[in-house]
Amino acid sequence: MTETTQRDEVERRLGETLRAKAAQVVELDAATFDAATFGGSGLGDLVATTPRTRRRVVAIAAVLTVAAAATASVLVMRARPHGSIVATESSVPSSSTPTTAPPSPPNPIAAPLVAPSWLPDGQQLWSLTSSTQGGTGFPTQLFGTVAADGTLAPGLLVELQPASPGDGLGGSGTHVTVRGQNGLARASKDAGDAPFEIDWIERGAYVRVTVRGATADQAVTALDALRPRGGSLMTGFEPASAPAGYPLLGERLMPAPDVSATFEYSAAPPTTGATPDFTVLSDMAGSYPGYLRIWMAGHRAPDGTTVELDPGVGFYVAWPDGRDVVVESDANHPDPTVLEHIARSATKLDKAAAAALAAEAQARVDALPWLGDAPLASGEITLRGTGSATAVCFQVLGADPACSNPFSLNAGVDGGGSNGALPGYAGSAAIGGTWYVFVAASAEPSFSVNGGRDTALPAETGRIGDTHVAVVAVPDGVDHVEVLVPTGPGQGAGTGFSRPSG
Amino acid sequence: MGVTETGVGTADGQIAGVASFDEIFAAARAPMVRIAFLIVGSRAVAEEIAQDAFAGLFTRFDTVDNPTAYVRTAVVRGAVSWKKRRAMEADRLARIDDPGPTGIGDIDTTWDALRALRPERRAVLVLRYYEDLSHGDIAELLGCPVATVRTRLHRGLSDLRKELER
Repeated sequence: MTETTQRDEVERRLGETLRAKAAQVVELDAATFDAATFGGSGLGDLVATTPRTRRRVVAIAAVLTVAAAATASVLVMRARPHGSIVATESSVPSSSTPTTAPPSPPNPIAAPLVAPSWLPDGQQLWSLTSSTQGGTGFPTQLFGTVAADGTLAPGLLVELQPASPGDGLGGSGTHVTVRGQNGLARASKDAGDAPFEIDWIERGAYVRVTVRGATADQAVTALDALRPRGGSLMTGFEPASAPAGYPLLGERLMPAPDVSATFEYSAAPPTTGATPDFTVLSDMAGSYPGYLRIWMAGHRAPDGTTVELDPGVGFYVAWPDGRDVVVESDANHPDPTVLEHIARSATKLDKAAAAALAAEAQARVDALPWLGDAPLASGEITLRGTGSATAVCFQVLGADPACSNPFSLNAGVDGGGSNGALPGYAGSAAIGGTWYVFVAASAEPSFSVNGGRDTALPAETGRIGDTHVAVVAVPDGVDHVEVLVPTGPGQGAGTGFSRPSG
Repeated sequence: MGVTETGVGTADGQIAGVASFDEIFAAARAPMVRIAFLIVGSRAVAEEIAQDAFAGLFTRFDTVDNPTAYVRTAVVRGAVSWKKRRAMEADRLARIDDPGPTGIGDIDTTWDALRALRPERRAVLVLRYYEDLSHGDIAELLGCPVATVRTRLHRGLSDLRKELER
């Protein structure tokens, strides 16, 4: 299978899956879901949910809690997840473990990757994750003329999605005839301030053309002139057939495998619930939004990059070779010149440099104030933070510590997990060839294998003050682990981790 | 304002003077349950979320300009919030309460892969590839910036691909 078909396959399968699964919910139980529920003599009679539905959910949740409790040797419920945290008697206060050898990241770092080389004074990296991606997106071509300011005047962004028999255009709009097909002209979905798009289906492709700087009639005339490259439109239009004023400006038909990376920066040490000052998302060969789409929504700069500013939100920059960087900022750092400076400072890092950067971030988290630790058989778990915990770290004797992401309550160093309200902190790391998942929480967590049926994993457990800590060495062959922490009668919160991969 | 046959609330004059609460409920409940189901993966929970959303609409019906948009926003945000708040429980409920495999390999595999995604990313994929909403509409529904929608969409597709490659 080629990369193009692999890429198309993900989005096609996603659309089909969502439609097929939604169709399974067509037959609703009228007795369960009755409009009369909301009626009665007044708001005092309002029942937010039908008793039957509520009972059903509560019953299932109760069963799950019993099952969760059964997997843990001791089930202790605590009201406050992180009250006063003190060291256990057997533990010894320590700062970050001194090492003579250069630190190494706890997980493989996919590389080479694109990393910013400039941040405002005082900004420090607290988290770096990266992974290899196969690339997603649709074949895309951009036709048009470049104005003096780098915008498109006009511009036609052609996106080609595979169409299946029976596919329709969906939605509403103004009917147009384009290339002999029935099409719809309607407000643009995605491309910045582009006024409209034209959609139609032709030769096995759902074609979406976003138009900028042209009327619908002008766009249709230009599109009518284009000749397909092959029997299917999925290979795009022949550039030589482009009419005057609409030369091919760029195309992306076969995206290369990508390495995507996420960097989180903050000037101040993270505190509980804090968000980073700057988040940088980078791709070595990004397909979305990608060079052409950013151009369509923004402009091409004199140096050949395409840029787009979402005011007050973030700055996008893409290079012709496929690299792209998105700099997001919290409300305290909306200065677009700063965002652009960060984005444009991006450079390519090889594996060694990227690994050193990731290890530096991990060491920084491990250097946060010590709040307590618990020695376990596999290694030592430490809680770190300023005032209250913001991260849990795990260190195997002789190895560098691995810490959870200090900006995510329960995300691991592999970036896995959900950003939900797990009452604690959880991380995951590959250390010395063993994959560990470690947790600090308000109640004793349980670990299970998510493989169609739940299989409890034995964990080493301990306490740091009121906080329950646990670590599990995940057996080979298990690639996904779920963590569950009871939060109350019939309730639990949890997250999942996938085996780290570089 | 008039009075509906069930006694309280009306939509007279609110959305072109055509829909009462009952009519909106009748027309929108199934689509709302489907959207919630695609995000949380459990039909029972989806019904619960939709019911809560309609309950919220019912109490505000006289003051809501666009009831359908209101209830859809409530359903999407409720589903994401539920999934985030109770991720583990949601996953387990989904296994118990899923309507079952379709018997079509690709679809069942992709559905399983969707379960592994973060709720925010899954919601963006559902809204984009099932509801066919624009980035701006998704941002409005989720109450987040457009740029965040874009990055979640990008990362969601990447995550999904990784899951499918496992």
